[in-house]
Amino acid sequence: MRTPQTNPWHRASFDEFLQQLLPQLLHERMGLSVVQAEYVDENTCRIVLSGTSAEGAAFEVEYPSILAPDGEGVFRIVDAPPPATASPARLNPDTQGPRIYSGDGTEFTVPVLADSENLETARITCVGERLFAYVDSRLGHVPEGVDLDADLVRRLAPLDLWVRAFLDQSAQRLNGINWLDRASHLRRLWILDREDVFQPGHFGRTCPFETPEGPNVGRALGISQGAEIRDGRLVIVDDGPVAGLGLGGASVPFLEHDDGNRVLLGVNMMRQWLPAAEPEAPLVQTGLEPDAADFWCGRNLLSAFVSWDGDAHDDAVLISASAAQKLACPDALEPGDKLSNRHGSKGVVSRVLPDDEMPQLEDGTAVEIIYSVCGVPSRWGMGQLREAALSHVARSKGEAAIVPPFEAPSDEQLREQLVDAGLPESGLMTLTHDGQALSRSSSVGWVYWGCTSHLAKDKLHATTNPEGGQLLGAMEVEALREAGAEVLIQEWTNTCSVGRSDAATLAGRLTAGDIEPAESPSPAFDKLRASLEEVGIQAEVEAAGVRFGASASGKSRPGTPTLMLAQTVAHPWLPDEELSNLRVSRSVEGFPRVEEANTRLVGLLAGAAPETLMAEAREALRRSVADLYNGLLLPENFAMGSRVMFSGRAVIVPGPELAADQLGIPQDMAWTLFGPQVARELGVAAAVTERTKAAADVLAQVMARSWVVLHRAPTVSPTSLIAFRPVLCPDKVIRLPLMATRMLIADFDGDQSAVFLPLTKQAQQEAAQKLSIAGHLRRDPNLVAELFPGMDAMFGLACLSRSAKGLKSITKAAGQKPELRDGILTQSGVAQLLRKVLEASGPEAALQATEVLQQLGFAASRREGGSVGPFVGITLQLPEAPDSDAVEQWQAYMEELWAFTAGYRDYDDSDVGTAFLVSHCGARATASQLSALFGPGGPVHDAHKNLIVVRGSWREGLTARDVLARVIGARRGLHRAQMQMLALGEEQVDSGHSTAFGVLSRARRSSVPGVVLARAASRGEVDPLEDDFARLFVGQAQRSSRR
Amino acid sequence: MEQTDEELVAGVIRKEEQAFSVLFARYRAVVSSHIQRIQRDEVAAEDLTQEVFLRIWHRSEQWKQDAAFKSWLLRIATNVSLNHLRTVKRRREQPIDPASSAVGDEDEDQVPPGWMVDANSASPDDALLRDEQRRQLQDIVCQLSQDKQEVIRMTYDDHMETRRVASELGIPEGTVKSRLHSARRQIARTWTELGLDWEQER
Repeated sequence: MRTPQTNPWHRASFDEFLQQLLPQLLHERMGLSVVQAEYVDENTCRIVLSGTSAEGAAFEVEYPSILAPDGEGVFRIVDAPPPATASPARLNPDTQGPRIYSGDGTEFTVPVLADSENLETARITCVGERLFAYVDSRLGHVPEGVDLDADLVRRLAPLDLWVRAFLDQSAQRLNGINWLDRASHLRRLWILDREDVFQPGHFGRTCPFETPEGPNVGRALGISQGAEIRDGRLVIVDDGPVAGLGLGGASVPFLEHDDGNRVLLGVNMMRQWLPAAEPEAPLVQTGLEPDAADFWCGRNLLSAFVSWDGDAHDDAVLISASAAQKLACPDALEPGDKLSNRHGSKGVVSRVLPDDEMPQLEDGTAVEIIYSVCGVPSRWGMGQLREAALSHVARSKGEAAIVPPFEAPSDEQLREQLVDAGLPESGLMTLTHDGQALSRSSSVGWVYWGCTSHLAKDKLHATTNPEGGQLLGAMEVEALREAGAEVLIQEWTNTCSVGRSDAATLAGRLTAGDIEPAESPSPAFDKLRASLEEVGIQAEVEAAGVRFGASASGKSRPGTPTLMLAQTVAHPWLPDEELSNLRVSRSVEGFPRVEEANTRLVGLLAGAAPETLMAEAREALRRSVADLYNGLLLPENFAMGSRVMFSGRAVIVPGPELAADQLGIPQDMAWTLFGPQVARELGVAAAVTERTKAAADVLAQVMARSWVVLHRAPTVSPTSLIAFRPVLCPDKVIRLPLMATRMLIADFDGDQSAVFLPLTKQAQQEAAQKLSIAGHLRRDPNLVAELFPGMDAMFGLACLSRSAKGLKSITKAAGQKPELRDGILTQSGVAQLLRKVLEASGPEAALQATEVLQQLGFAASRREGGSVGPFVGITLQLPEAPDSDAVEQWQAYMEELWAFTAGYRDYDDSDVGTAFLVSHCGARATASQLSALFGPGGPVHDAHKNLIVVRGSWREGLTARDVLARVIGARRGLHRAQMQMLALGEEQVDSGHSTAFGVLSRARRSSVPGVVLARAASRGEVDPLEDDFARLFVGQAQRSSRR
Repeated sequence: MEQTDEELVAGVIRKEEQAFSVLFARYRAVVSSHIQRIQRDEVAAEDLTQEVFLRIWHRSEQWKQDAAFKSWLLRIATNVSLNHLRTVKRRREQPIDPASSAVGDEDEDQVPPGWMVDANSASPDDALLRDEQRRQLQDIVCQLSQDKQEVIRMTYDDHMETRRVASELGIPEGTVKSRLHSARRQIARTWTELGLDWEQER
C-alpha cells in the first residue's frame, strides 16, 4: 500500500499568481501595490491593494473573499449551478442515480493544460498561470494623469468577479463516483492541440493506460506517479516502469498478461465502480494500491471462464444471487447492471440465478459469475485467468497475494505455487452442474469485480409525450429509406414527431380512437416555412407541389414591422432588392445586434455626423442584417429526423428464450407505451394507472397484436432497425432474441437501444412487412449469414458435430445434412445450411431452424464447460522462433506460426483443445489472435519508431519494454475506432445528398440555402416534390397521383 | 504634401467632410487601441471610438493647440472611456456550466461501441498487421459484386477521382458515389465480423 500522492502543483501555481504575478501586473498597469494577499481559510483568500490619487491621497481597496484552491487543488463553489441532468422523463423518479462518493456538487478543479503533445518540452499551465492569463487579457492600462480612486479601481479591476468568472468558464465539476475517480481527476493533464494520440514523451510522464476511449483519447491523460509539474514543465522524478503508471494502472496485477486496451478499459471502468455495500480488498493485489480506506469498491467473485449458454452470450454475464447481494450498491444487482474487472472484461448482467442453479466446485462452492470463454482468446485477457488461479493460493494461505506490475510470477513459479497449495498444476478444475460434471476442466477462481455506475434502472426511459421522446436522426431515416419503410419515415417525422403543434394531445387522441397518418406539411417543413416567413418568403403546399412566393421586401408578412431601419440596406440574398424594415420577431437570434447597429446609425443621423462615420455605421448595420438572415436558414434546417413520441430506451440483454420475432420489454415501458390503447379498450384510464388485473389482461392482448421497432446505434445498415412483437419482461431491460444480435451488432457490454411504437395501422403493417427479421431477409436474402448468433452456440454445435450422434441431431434440427470442414461444423457451414432452408422454405422456416440449432448449440456448449487455462499452450511444440531480430525472418516465422495454429486438430487436448476449437469453428478469435496467446508477439515499432521484436506471449507475460511498445499500437487502434465511428455518420449523410433539382433539394445542397430559396421565391418557382428528399421532407407519404 | 493636423482641424471646424475623413483615417486605430488598452473590450471600444470622433466633429474648436492634437485626442478618449466605465455596467462574462465541459470521462454515445474497439485492438501489431489486413481486405473485395469491385479498385488501387472513374466506366458520378458508398459499407460490415469468423482467412 502506498500513501496517496498529493498534487501540489495546483496550489503552488495559485500561490505564484497571488504573491508574484498579480502584484506585478497591478503595479505595471495601474500603479497599485498589493499590501496583503493571504488565505482566510482553505478555500478563500483576501487581497488588499493600495494606491494614491492625483492629489496624493492614499486609498485602499479590499477584496475580502476571493475563491482559492485547497492543497489538493479543489475549489469549493457553493452557489454553482446544479449539474446538468439532461435526462428525459424518468420512469422511476424515485431512483436517485448513481451513489456519489464525495459529490455534494460544490467541488471543482481547474484542468492542467499542456501546450503541445510533445510532453518532454511542453509548457504546462495550471490554475495560477491560466488565471493570470485571464486577468492579463482583461486588466486595462491606466493612462498617466488619471485620478484614481477606490471606486474606479474596483471597476477597472474587479478581481473577485474575475476569479469567479474564470472558474465558471474553466473549472470542471470534480468527479466523485469513487475515491479513484476523484483522485485521478485531480491528476489529469489535457493536451489541447493533439494530432497524434501518442508521443514518446508520454512515457514516464503520463500513465500508458489512462486515457478515455472516446474523442479525448490521447488528449486527456493521467499524470504518472513518478512525475510532477515543476516550473511549468512535466518532469520525471522516478523513471522506473512502475513509477510510470498512474493511480489506476498501478492497481492492476498481471497487467503484462493483458492487451493494453483491455487494461485501459479496466482502469477507466475502475473509476466508475460504485462502492459496494460491503467492499473487500482483492485476493490478488499489486501492493502499490493507494492507502486510502475507501479505495476498494468491489468484491472477489468465484468466476468461471467457460463455454456456456445464451445467458453468457458475448459480453453478457450470468451471476448468482449471492453475487448480486455481495456487490449491492446499495440495492442488489439486477439484469442490465454493468460489471467489470481490472483486466477490462466487462458485460451486463443477463440473469441472476439462485446459487444452487449455478455450476459448483468439487467442494460444492457455487460459482458466482460466468463469463464466456469466447471473450478470452480474441481479447488476450490472460491476466484474469492468472488472477483466478492465484486467488486459490491466496485463499489457502489466508492472505492476499502480491503481484507488482511487471513482476508477475513466471509459468513455473505460478505452477509451483499451485502445487504447493495442493491445487492442480494446470490451474483448471472440474465443475459440476445439475449434479453432472462438465465434460472439460475449467478456469475458475476468485476474480475481483466491481459494479459500474451504469445501472439498468437509471437507463430505463419511456414516454408517450413530447418531452423525452427518442431521437430518430438523419442516419436512421436514410436506413429506413433503404429498407423501403417510407410509411414509418412519415410516421416518425410527422405523425408522432414532437415538433407538431398538436403533439401534446397525441396520447389523448389515441385514447379516444385510431390515429391516422398526419397530413403534410411535416414539422420540419413547417419550421422552415416559419423561418422563411420571417423574411417575407412564402412556401405553400399545393396540389402541384410547394410554391415559393415572392415578396422579398417583406410586404407579405402581416402585421407591422418590428424594426424600421434608419436607412435601407441591401437584401442579403437578392442582389437587386433593398430592405427598409425588418418584420422578423424580436426573439430571432441576431435581432439585438441589428437593433444596436440601427440605434447607432440613428444617433449619427440625428447628430448630423460626418459621412465617414455614417458609412461605417451603415456597413455595420448591413452586416448585422445579413447575419440575422443567414442565421435563420442553416443547412441543418434541411436535416431529416425528429424526436419521436411513444418511444423509450433501456439496456439490452440477451433473450435466448425468445423467438426471432419477439422482444422482451420492461413492464414499466410496456405500461407507458401501450397505456393509452389499454385505456381506450377498458374505457377506464384509472385502471391503467393502477395496473389492475383487467388492465393487465388487455395490455397482453394489445401487445400480442402489436409490433415495436428496436433501434441500435450507430446505424450502419437498414438492419440497425428491427421490428418485433413485444412480450413482457419482468426486469428493467430489453431482452433481445439472439438471431438479431449480429444484425444489430449487439455485444451486451452495456449497450442500450431505443424502442419505437408505430401508432397508425399503416405503420404497424409496414413495420411487420419490412422491418421484422423475416422482412429484412425478404429484402436481402444474404442476411441469412447473420442469423446464427455464433460464439458459444457455435462452439456447442462444433462439439456436437464431432460425433455421429451429435451430427444426427444437427441434421434433424435443420432438416438438412450439414457440410463439415476438417471434421467440424463451422460458422459458414451453419450459414450455408440456413441459406438452403431459406431458399427451399422461406424466411420463417430459416428462422425456425436457427432457433432450434441455437438451442441445440447452447445446450451442448453448457454441458462442455470448455475453457482456456492460465497456462494455455504450454504443452505445444511451436515452430522455432528466429534468433535474429530481422523483420523478414520474423514475418516468415509469424506466417508459419499462424499456419501451425490454423492446422492444429487435437480438439480433445486438455491444454489447448477448447481454444483451437473455438477459433476453428468460427465462434471467436482468428488464428493470429489465438497464436499470440502462446506464441511470440513478433515485430512492433517502439515509441521511437524502431522495430523491436516482442518474443513473449500473453501467457508468459510481456517485459516492461514490450508492454509499452504494444500500448502504442493499442492506443492508435482506439483512435482508429473513434475515427471510424465519426466517418460512419458523415458518410451516411453525404450519401443522402442526391442530385435532384427541385428547389428544396437544391437548397439542401447549398451552403447558403437562403439565396436559393429567395431566388425561387422571386421567380415564383414551384418544387414539384418529385425527388424522395423533397417529398419526405415536406411530409407527403405517397407518390402523388398526378404522376 | 501631407496636410498637418492643424490644417485638418481647421477644415473640420469649417465642417469639411474631406478633412474629417483624413483625420479619422489617421487616428482611428490609435484611438481604438488606446481605448482598448483601458477597457479591454472590443465591442465597447468600437462604439467609444465613434463617440470620440463625433465629439471631434462637433467640438474641435475646443482644441487650444497648447498640446499636440494627438495628446488632446487621447485625453478625450481616456475621458470617454472612464466615463463609460463609471456609468455603464460591465459587460457580463459568459458563464459556461462547468458540468457541460468535458471532464475526461465521456458520454456513452461518444465512445465507439465495443465491437469497433475490439476490431481495432486485438489484432497482430504494426508491421505484421498490414500484411494480414491487406490479404483479408482483398478477400472481402473479391466477394463484392462486379460493378462495386470495379469502382473500389479504380478508386483505391488506382487512386482515381470520382469524375475519372465515372468517365472511364461511362456512368454518372452519382452512380459511382453510391456504388462506392454501399461497397464501403459492405466492407466495413464484413470487416468487423472477421473477428467472429476466422475461416475467411484460410
